Amino acid sequence: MKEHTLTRRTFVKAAAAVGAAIAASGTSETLVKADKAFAEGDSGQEEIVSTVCRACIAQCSVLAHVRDGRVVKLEGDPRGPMSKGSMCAKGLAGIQALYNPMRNKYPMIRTGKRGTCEFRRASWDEATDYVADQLLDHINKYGPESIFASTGGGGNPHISGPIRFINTIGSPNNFEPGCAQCYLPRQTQARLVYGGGPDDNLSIADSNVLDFYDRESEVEAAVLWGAGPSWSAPSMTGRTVADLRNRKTNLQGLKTVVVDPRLTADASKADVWLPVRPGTDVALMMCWIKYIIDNNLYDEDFCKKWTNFPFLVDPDTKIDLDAGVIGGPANNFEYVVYDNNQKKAVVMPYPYPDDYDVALFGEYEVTFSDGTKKTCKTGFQVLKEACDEFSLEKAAEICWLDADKIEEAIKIYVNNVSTLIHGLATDQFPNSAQAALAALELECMMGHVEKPGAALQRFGVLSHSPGIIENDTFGMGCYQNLITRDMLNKRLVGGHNGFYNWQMAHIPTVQQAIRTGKPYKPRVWMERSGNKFAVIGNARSWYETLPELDLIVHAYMYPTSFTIEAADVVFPLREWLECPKPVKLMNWIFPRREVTHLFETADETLYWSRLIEKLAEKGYQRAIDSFKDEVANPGKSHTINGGNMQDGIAKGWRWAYDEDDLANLFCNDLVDPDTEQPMSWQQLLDKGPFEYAPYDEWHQYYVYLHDDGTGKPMGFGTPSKRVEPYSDITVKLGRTGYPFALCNEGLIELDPSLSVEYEPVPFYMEPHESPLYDTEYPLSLTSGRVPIYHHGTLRNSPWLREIMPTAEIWVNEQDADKYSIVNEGWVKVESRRGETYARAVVTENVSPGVVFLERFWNPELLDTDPYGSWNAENVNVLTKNDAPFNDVYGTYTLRGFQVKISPVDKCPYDVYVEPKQFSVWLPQYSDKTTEPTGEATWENWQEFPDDDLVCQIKAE
Amino acid sequence: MVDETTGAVAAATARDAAASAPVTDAHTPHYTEEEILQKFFADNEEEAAESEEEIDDLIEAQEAAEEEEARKPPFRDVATEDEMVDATRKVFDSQGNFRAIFYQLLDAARTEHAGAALSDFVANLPEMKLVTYPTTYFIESLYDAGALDRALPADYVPRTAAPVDAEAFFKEGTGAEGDPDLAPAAGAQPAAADAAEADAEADTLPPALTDYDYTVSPAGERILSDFSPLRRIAELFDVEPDLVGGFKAVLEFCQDAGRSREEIEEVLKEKGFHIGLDLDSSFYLDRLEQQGGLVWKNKGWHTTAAGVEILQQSERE
Repeated sequence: MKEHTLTRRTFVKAAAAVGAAIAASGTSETLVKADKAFAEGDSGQEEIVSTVCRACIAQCSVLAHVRDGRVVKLEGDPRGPMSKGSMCAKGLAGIQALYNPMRNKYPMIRTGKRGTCEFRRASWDEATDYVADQLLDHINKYGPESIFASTGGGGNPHISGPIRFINTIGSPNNFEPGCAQCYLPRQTQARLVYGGGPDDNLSIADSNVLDFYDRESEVEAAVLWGAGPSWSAPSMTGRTVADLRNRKTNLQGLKTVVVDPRLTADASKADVWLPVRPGTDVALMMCWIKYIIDNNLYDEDFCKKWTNFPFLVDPDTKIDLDAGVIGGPANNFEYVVYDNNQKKAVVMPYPYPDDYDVALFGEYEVTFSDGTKKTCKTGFQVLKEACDEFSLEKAAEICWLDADKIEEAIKIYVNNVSTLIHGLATDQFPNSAQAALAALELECMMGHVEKPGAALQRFGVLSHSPGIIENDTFGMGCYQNLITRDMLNKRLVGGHNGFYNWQMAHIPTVQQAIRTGKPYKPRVWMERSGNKFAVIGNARSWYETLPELDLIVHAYMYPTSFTIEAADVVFPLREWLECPKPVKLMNWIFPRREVTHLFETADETLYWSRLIEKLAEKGYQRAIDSFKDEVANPGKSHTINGGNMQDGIAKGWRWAYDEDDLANLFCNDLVDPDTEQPMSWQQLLDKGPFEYAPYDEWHQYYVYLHDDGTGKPMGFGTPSKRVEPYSDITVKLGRTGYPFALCNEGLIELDPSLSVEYEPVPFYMEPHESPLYDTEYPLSLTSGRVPIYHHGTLRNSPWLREIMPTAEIWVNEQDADKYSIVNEGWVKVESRRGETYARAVVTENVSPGVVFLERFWNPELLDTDPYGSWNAENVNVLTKNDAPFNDVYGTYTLRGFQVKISPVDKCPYDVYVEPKQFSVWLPQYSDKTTEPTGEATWENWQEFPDDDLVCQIKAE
Repeated sequence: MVDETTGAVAAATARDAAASAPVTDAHTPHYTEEEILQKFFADNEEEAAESEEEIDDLIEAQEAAEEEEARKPPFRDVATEDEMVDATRKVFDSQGNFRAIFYQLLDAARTEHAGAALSDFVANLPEMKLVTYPTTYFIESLYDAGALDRALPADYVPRTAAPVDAEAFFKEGTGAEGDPDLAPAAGAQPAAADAAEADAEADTLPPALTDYDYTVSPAGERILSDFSPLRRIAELFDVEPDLVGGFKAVLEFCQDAGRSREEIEEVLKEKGFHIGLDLDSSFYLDRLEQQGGLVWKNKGWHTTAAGVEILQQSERE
């Protein structure tokens, strides 16, 4: 091994001190051994290690049994406040994922054309050096915008990593196939309407709705709207909903309404199941709003005092009238309302004065300070009129439902201590923002905000709540100090400004830029996730785009279709059992530990860090700066009204030097409650899982009523301190980027040429491809989770493939008869984008005219038929990624589009269907195998290296 | 314990846990992988053997299909000229930054025929600076698509496999490259050192790609005409008539010296050509490079001969 005179840590410190002078210093590596990939000896001694699962986004607490260096058993940790000792199939498959024979074991560089398995093995130093040279070459030639990154939610992701990487490069473009199609609309709209933190929203699938984890919760009923917790996160959200439903205490067992085209496990237990036609949910939500208004079922007191519904709206600007427009002081949380007592439009002080009786509905004349008069409606009036056409009968007709059943469902919602849990489904068609807004409007109308049983809560705000990187900065605070105004304006969002919340780009707009070169051409793709072709909408359109790209770099735990079809350079990443990270679960901190570590794999964040470090070595100033604390982390956040929307630069963090440094950075502002001193990673490991705040202190309702220190209530973290279900802030988001256009200057207004118009209240969009007029493709397709796979992961897990060996399409019995489909027979499924195959489940669990198909791909075909590996059984060769998009979030169509089906004798691709076939992926930890050769052929991809191989770079 | 959502009994195995959904108030029972493997695959030896046979059948079927594929005549032996032109277009468009390499290689083959010389030519192209593929990949791709023809030179002498000089290879302390890391452990006995094997008659090797002489095929000539930079730049001007002034300004600016992206952007701004959020200055560079009017070398943009000729044509007009 070479002698090195400069360690990695001292190198970076030197970088901070002398800047570009270090460019010539060269690299330094200190190599440490990987753990052995097999057990040596049989001591019989077993260590039990507390860690946290990352097989999906739920993050259940886990106990890993380690014998002679090998993980031999996983079980749920009963201390886990959310999973309470349960684990699901995805988590239990962690051992198979860890020891899968097809792990990517070392970096590789392509030697044959894309679409072949021709790679050669490379060292980390060579591979990062090569990629860094390519990046610098492209930056010099075309500018940093020629580089873009992407990630995905499946397979141990650090979502913020690629955002920070790309921001460091100087490019504004990173995307994720979830995002606008998963969580961005619901999460962003909740921030805008409610002003809570990133996790304070209606999505139970994203580990929120925390009151449900309290068995003493007063909640009596829940509407699961497009949410199937028993299948999306069985051991966490599914477990807790089942627990509440089963409750045999003095508290009522949970009644449920399930709105879902499928009869899921949760729907089968529902008091009312509404099998809504895919893509029509907003019509149904607007019907609920109308019914509740027409029947005076809303919480009048809450609406008057704590919402912006009574504020009068400027009819020309669609913006709430603040006191300034009629001559009062602006920015004092005072707005213009009509007071029934004074019988005129007046300024309403904050908080609500007892002698006021504001009008919730109607239109009133307002005299502006310049003397002009306008007739202005209240926000609630505007919403009422928007929903006026959606009677029970109309909604039943649009949504293919029974009007009486709709009414029965609404009554469960309004006559109990209830809440609405809003799932992923509505994020997957172009009406996404409107669905997110309508769901929040329902909760605000009903006063389901921070009261017992409500989904919207700000637990932890009144107690010390440590900031955990990734948890607390999801999509925010990621190197805003390295984002310039120019970068912000250049981000490829296509007029869908909701992306600014997560600092991401709009996928079809990026694709269009690649194809047309306008406004500039992204040419280098830095991809970190599993199989992009399995999870991205209209995957074939991306396959056809690949030739336009100069370089594609793929980092993941094992090869996927994307690796073979697209990647020029491959980096091996770690599985969740190999990664250190603190995880916040309610009022607890659990350490996810590096239980073991195999091959030359790297933690994802360290992978990005090492690429940046290479750029720093080569003198790229932005990379050098990004290791400086004072640049990367300029200090504390600035927020709007003490809430979670920022008006200034958020905290950031520098890149890590090595694993230990990274783990310590992840600890961020962890404080040991016993000593009240900051905690290092090692101290956290020594301490183990702990409560950072007592439960009762953490679990507090009605946060908005607490004194803000001036004698007034805290209110909500919105500009008005009230919840804002009349969403004029959404209008502002379109016009200026407010409140998410954040860069190194703080909160700015986007370039005026980028201004677009959004609506402050919901509207219904009939699906673009609709069964109402499509005769060629007669069936409406929906999708959704199955309990054993998460996104595109784990199709190479033998146990899980045995349970679900092929993609399944659910077809109603009537349609099966009509199209000659037999149960378990193979079906060809076609849309206007392509065709794929699945085995039929003939069932009454979907309505006539509706089919269900979930994502799938076939790793068994990677070496023999890579094109088939993502075309054989993949719903995403059918999905639609062109306009119409959602106005605010750019959502394209993954559900609610049209297909046709026909029977076939068998799948034309040689996919595995028999259990024994999957045995090729059984864990290979107990056989000492040969050392891989220099050529990364398919055969030795499967070989486990000898334990003498050294791996991970680590500082002294 | 029975879960009311799914009716599932608390998981008895990982598989059961997977098939059920949530397990209320119950921990998943623990089985080691060995136990589960045993349960899955060792319970029924007969079934396992049957599955083994099925796998063998599958492998045989796949091998047969591969053999059949191998028996098919090469594309270029059966394709029409039009089909070869289409195939070559696909090769040209197969990866963004490869088009210029393919074009220049094909163009060079008009005058330079020796495979080794063409390989050297490709290796020295500025566009190859960061390409990891072997130079022969480009030659082979054009040959396979039918844009190049090839033949062995009249004086070609087949090469033979050189006998292994085991003694030299394993000379202690030096290794093949003199790198001490590659040296065998003391006392190692090379497997190939068998004297009889070393003396064995050498085998004839098949010709390497660089052993052939190459000529441009009729299909290749058509491609060269279609992809001529002069033609493509003219087409670009037709497609983007509003931006022609900007394109020409860039070509003019990069005629005499290598220019940076920032310098070019400054010139476009100064001269009032359209750039902004809807059109970045890099669009001009991208398009001119793609059409063969600009080339990036020595960290600067340079106007190519075709780019200069276009400017001269414009002046004449």
